[in-house]
Amino acid sequence: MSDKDLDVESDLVDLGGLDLELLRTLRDTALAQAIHRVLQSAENPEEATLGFQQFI
Amino acid sequence: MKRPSSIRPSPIRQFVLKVYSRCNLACDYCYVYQLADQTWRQRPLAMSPATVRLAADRIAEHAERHRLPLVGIVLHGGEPLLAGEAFFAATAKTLRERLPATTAATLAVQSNGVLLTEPMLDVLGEHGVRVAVSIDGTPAGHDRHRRYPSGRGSYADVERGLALLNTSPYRGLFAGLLCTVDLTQDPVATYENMLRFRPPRMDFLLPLGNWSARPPGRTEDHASTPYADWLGTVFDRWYSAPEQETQLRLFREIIHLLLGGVSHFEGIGLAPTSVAVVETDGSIEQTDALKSAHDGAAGTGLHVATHSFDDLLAHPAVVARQSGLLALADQCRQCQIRRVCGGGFYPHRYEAGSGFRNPSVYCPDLLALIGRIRRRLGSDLRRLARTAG
Repeated sequence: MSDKDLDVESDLVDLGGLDLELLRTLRDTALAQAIHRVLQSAENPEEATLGFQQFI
Repeated sequence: MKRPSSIRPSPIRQFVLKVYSRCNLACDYCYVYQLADQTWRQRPLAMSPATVRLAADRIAEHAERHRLPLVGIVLHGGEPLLAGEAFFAATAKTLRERLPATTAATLAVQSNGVLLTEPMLDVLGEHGVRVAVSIDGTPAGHDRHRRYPSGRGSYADVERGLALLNTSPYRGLFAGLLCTVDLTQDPVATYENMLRFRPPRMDFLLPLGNWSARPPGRTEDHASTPYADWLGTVFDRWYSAPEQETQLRLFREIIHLLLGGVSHFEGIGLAPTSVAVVETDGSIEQTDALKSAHDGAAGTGLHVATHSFDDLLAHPAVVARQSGLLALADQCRQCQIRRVCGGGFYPHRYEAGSGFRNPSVYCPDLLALIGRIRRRLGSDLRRLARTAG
């Protein structure tokens, strides 16, 4: 898959400047988990593959 | 579709083994028995040990060829637990021992939950098979669709099974809950009843349907977004919790995509499909929700006795689902949310006569839901950035 297809345009804020102290104030909210996940996957890129919908 | 030269095949990473082709429930929306496809009638009841070995060898071959460190194997059906404890013990052993030493496997079963007993959970636990259960929210909501052939609702039996799964020897096996959306049911009550079972993760599935067989409530009125409204209400409840109560897959993946990540399940996003299904008779098929489109829609003509999973990667329909934007309808390729939506779940795009190169029949709902999540996320992140600044 070409890189162009994987690029996601976003008008959201750049997450790179957020520090951990600030993230801690979010406690364990869905937002905090989402930010952690995207920061983690930026450091350890995951294979982009689509798993089976009829199984959770 | 012929594979564009710029796109390399992406290996299969999740293998769904249909270990039992019949079910002890008669759910009225089931894509295996109630919709367009009727191939189940020709399948053997259970996957034979010989077919299990063939499937295991093909998975191992694929894992070795593509140097996969990890594969996922889902034991599915019908109702897979009808295959019995001895079957699961033998199958799990065969699957694990035939993999190359460099490939680990996660094993799981997706069950209707009514056959969860201590002996079964003991075997599943011994062999590291995790358990995911289908339950449609509240007792009334669940029993509206998920009944025994006699017409009796199955909620009480599922609740009993989940209570057992949540006890201390078995809690670690609990993979999560799947629920099919019913617009007649209150969304928050549906979500909160499922939360009672403390699922580590859950998801809401849009009912299977397409342009030729519209899902319930999904009219031709593009201004109407009943599924976005329903799911959006659940999103607000889930997202606003002071501490996340469960991982809700659809919302997590949409948020991850909006933040620049890639999706990992086939309902959303542009990433290449990575699922192969092996039926009880050894036939290799595509994701079996395609059975909702037309009879034989998931078929490929391939079989584990004679074909590899690399042969599946060359199938035109799989090529299409690994080609990202290139395989989408023109309308989708120009859409502002194309890289998040990805055209929606593939079976939802079907129309008799034109195939799958269409937007999803849920297009208005996907647009509305993704927009709603984006607005909420954007607002929260801008507030966060101001705090940080």
